[in-house]
Amino acid sequence: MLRAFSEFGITVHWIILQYSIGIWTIAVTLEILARVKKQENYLKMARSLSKVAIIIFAVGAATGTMAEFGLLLFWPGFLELVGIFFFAPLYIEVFAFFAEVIFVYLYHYTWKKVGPKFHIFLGVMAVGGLILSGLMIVSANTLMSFPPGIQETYNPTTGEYQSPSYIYTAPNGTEIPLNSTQIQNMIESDPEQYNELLEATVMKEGVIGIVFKTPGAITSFMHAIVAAILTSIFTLIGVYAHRIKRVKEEKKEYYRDGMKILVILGIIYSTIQGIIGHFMADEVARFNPEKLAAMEGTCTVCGIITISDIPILGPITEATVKFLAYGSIDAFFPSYMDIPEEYRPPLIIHYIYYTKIGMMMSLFASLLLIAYFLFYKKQDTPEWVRKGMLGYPVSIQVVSIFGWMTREIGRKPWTIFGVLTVEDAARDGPVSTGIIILLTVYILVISFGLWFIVWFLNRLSSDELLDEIEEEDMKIADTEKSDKSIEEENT
Amino acid sequence: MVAADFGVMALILATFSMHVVMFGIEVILSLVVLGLLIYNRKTGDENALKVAYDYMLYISMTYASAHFFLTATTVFTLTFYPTFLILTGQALFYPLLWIFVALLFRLALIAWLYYGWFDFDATKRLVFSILFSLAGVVWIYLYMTLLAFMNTPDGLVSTDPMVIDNVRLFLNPTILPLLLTVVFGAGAVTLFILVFIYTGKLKKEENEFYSKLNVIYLKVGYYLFLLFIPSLLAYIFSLRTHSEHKFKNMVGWVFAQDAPTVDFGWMFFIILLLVVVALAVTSILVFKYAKEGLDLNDKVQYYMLMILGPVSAIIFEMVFLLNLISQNPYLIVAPELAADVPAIVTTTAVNDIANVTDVTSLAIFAMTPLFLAFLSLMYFIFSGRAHAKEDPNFKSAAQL
Repeated sequence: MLRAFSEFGITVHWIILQYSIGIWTIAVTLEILARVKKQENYLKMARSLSKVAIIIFAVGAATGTMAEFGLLLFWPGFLELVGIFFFAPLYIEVFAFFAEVIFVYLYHYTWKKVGPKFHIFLGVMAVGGLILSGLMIVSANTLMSFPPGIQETYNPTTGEYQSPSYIYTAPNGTEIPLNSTQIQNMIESDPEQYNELLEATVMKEGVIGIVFKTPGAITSFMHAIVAAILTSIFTLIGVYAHRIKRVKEEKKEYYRDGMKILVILGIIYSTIQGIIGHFMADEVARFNPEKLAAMEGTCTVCGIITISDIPILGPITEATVKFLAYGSIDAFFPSYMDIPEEYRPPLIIHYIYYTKIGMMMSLFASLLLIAYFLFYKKQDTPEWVRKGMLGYPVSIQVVSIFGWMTREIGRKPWTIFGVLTVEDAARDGPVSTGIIILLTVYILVISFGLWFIVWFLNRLSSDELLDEIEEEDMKIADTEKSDKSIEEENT
Repeated sequence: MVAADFGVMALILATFSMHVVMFGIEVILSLVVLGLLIYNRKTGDENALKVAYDYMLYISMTYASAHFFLTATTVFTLTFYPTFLILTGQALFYPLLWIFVALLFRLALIAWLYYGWFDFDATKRLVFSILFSLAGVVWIYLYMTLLAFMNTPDGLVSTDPMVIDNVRLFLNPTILPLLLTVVFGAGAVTLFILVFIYTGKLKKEENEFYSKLNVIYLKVGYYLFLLFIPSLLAYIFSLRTHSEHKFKNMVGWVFAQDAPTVDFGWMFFIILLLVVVALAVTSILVFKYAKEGLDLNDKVQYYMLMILGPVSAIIFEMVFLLNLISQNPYLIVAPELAADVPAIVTTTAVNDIANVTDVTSLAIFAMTPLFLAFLSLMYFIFSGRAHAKEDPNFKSAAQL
């Protein structure tokens, strides 16, 4: 129960952070495009996005502190291990977070108060901070799936499975191969010896270098960042589709321009995401065969219906995945039943994973359809397409959360793959009054986070936003006029 | 203390003391906003309302900064003293829990007040502001339980298994003087910083309301500063009874015969000197110049008003640095407890892996430019440029 709440809290934090990374990246991109293409509407869009997104920080900070607090109280075993050996990502993230806070606020408050080039520089620094921050947090998560020393153990040609194996470095520099069972035994009988081995292994890789050298580090990071940008793009398209119907004709052009550029960005980023997704799945196939077995549902005696059971589509999908993962359609998937029972991930991720893939492909296809109407037919999308777009903000979040669930649930029963189980990482003991209070607070914060997401979408689509910007411009013009008349009077 | 240990401690101390100063200023600003709203209600002066709204921006900025420095402190402590962090997380569960609740409550109120400012009527604004200020004061008290626990872990019955007497935890004997020191100190610093801001503004253009505020802030700040001095001394002498090790390190050769580990008497002495200077400057300003009305064209008065804010902020920051650094070598000052579990509570028990030059130098290289950028942001916000008119040379996209 406590763990579930903790995980849910982190998920709400992730939903909000996606907008933080995505909206700012889109805003800065639009500002650059506005300057290059001399497009006033892009500039207006960038400004309105920065106006709305500034509050995300505050809410992100609240849910982030909640996640931090949850880790400290609910996952002490895990946090201690991370603190001792894998602290580097969190440590570097502090500086990235600092850069984020500084430059995002500077970018927001300096609109029209500094030169365009300097303003873009501030924006690029802000996005740089956000992306570095994302890199570090995702790296910490990647270390949980691909801990140092991890080896490829599965043989796809024969289908032979072995439990997760690692090569550790002893303090004297010799290499020591250990599998997960041996690691568990060592942690139980001689934790000091295990800590020495882990310390020497981390030191060999370099305390900071380990962040980037882990298999899956770069692909996981890129996948997460592009996911955040895509989530924001689809959300904005949905919001603009909602607005375009309701505004007067003279304002429609603004939303049309917005939709066009967002559709182009959406197609580009979706394609990139597909390519990155392939490389990421490849790493899962090589290093986490247990997860792949559950994702593909390779269990003939478990009584589940898998995608392979679907006529025509099933065999094609299976062959394609085998080819992409192992370079041969004759390769074997790891068998779910070969995995020791206590280390099998839940099979539910087969459904979660394929629902995600199916939904993302549909969303991509719908983008192509919109592009056909907007660019080829040079007309607004038909009403049924526009109505379909209204579902984008929710659909894309489902895709994103299902992706996250596949990654997290697919690692179970491990918190750190092959090293630390959930049972050892989490707090045990009776539920005290304090925990009940904390749970209540959690529920309140989560509700607040969810309410905020709704508010945020409303605000993005509110009439007032553009009016506020126009009003601000008018005020500035008035001040200038009165300044001029005072100057004239004085002269 | 080896070089890397020094780097580690400097990093944690710098971020933590910045956090305490920022959040102290933020809470006091919320009380100032409340004062302005009450003044507006009594006199109907719209200027007070306008100024109060401006302060909401300062509040949101100091809140965000305080939050950042808190995260940095937590992560640095996790990196260098992971076991200590887990131990205190378990021991101080209730204070941490309520700090967390207060933090979120205040965040929600900041958002409501700032974004709903023009939608609320005067009564609603006042009620929110009262709740906001109250939560701030409670928050400070809760925070002091953490610092007091580090002075002397009153209420910690045993560490294995962890047994805590929560009542004693909240009634630590060093809490009250510490609380008064923080409230009066942060109060004086905040008001003197406002004096610094308004003096700068008034030098450029005349404004009757700002002039009035400047004098009020100067006088109230002065009295708070007067209260801060005995509170600080009371706190230091409460340490003599309850945390002698820390007391001796802190006052060093000034008041004690010997310092058990490092003599920080020099730092204490500098603080005393700065306090005397600040007291002299404020006394002259309040009793000589303010009576006749401040004249900013008089260079002596102008510079006196301008140095007050930075000097008081330095004093406050130094007091907190001294308070933390005097613990050395203990993270929780309890020699008898440390004898049993030295790895948990001593500063020398730095995480071996993290205690390497790469890690500390990374911090210095990354933190220095960022801190400069942070100061620019603070200057931009507090000098009122965030609300200033646009750059006349600015060109829209179509004009380019």
